[in-house]
Amino acid sequence: MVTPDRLRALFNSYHQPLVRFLTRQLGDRDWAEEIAQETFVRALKQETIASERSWIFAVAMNLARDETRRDTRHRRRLELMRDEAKAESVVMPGPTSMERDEERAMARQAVESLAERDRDALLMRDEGLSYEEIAAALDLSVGSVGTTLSRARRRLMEAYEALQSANTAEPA
Amino acid sequence: MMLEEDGVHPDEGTIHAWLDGALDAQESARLEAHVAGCTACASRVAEARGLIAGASRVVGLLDEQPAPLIKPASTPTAGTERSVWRLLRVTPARASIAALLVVAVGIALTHGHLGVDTKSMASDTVASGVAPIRDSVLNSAIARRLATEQPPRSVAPAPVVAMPTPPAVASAQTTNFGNAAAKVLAGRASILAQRDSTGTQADRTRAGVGQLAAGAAVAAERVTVAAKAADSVGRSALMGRAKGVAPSVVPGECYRVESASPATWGSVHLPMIVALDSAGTDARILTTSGGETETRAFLQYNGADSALFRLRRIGFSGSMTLGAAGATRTGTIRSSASATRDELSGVPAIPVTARLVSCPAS
Repeated sequence: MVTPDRLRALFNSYHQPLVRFLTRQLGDRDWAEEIAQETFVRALKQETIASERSWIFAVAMNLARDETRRDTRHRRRLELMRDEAKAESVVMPGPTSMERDEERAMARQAVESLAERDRDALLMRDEGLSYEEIAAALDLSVGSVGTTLSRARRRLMEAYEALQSANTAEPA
Repeated sequence: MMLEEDGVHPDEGTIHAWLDGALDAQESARLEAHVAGCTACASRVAEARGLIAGASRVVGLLDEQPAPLIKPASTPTAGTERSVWRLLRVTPARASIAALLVVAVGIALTHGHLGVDTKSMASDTVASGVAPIRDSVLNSAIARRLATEQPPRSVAPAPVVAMPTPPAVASAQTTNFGNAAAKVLAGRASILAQRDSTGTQADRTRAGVGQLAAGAAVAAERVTVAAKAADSVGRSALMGRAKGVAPSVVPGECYRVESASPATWGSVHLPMIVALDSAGTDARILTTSGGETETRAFLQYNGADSALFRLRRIGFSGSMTLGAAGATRTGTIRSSASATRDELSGVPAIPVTARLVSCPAS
């Protein structure tokens, strides 16, 4: 049984990177917080956790995936609500932030274009997980993590740059 | 890129693993020795390095939150920029006033709807159900914003399109209580979110430090990884020899870049100020008097011995390298009036010097 003290330590070490990882996966901060919380609740129920970081990221990733599959309606509704709030809000972004929004939208689109496993590996690596931890979380051999990451990075940049040049090609 | 599978050249995955510090000492040494003598692989290492930095930047963009409020327009010279808001003649001050009006209408409607006496409860109205500390955050953010707004340059009404305040009020009146409250909450959330996102980089650093403290085993492993990574950067034939720890440029700092003879970067004449943002990912290019230009840059690589910026301006491509931190650093700029990066290859690099300056007040 994970003790409350241990849980606190786990929470302090991993909550923030985990929420960021999930937000990047799901595109929704509140949702990410919910899943992060559920992950820590599950950790509390574990007898022992061998490799903490890969366990936590793997569980969170699976929860996120299950929920995305089970309840795409929920997600769509959230997106709708967000768009609605955005459209109704009278506080207006300036030109700079419009450009930033565009970049962010392109980044999201590019990340979403990746194969699931490539995306997971890339986002985990960005949170500082080692090759061994990524391998454990994704059930890969350590030797193939480099290949997975290099493919993910290349495809991400190709997708992003394609979106970017499509954008730039529009008459200014 | 195709991999050469003749058993000698490392494949792309191995190169990435090496740059990620994931190879053991023996493999690292072998790869390093090979790359030192193989120009083809050296260029693949350079490419991989670019991919790693680029991918990390794109992933970082996911954390950006939509900016909730207009930036104060700093110079009237930025008039050529294509902007809907400028066309609509929505000035920052006007937008703020409109925002405040909608909040006020929301408050009034809440009370109208619930039949509460607005006069006696004016101060804690919409706040019920929301933590008071968040109110103070929102209120002070609005106050700060108003305080930094420039006064409207002209009192004359916009001749083309009327400012949107009256329609905003009218439509708000027809909406129900839920929408009005949602707007208030949305504004609140976006301000909080924006504040969060500016702290991301620092938080990430702190998180890294926290993890080091979390457990001896984890710490030892991370230190090894960090050392390997620093080492591979330091030893790389491509990136120079310095083994410094500090990156070349620091978030939030400004650098004055000048050249011996007249030069331009994109459409900006040197000398210019490169103002790195607080996240350390993007930079604004300013005139030496602190005026905004339409040119921006993003930081593609920030190593111990050099930093590489990419020019961002529609119709131009360009790059700028700055050397390691010091009183005066040397660097180069290149740019051309074309949209693709590839067309930079024939463009000569202009030597520049850069020094740290205090950032112009915006």
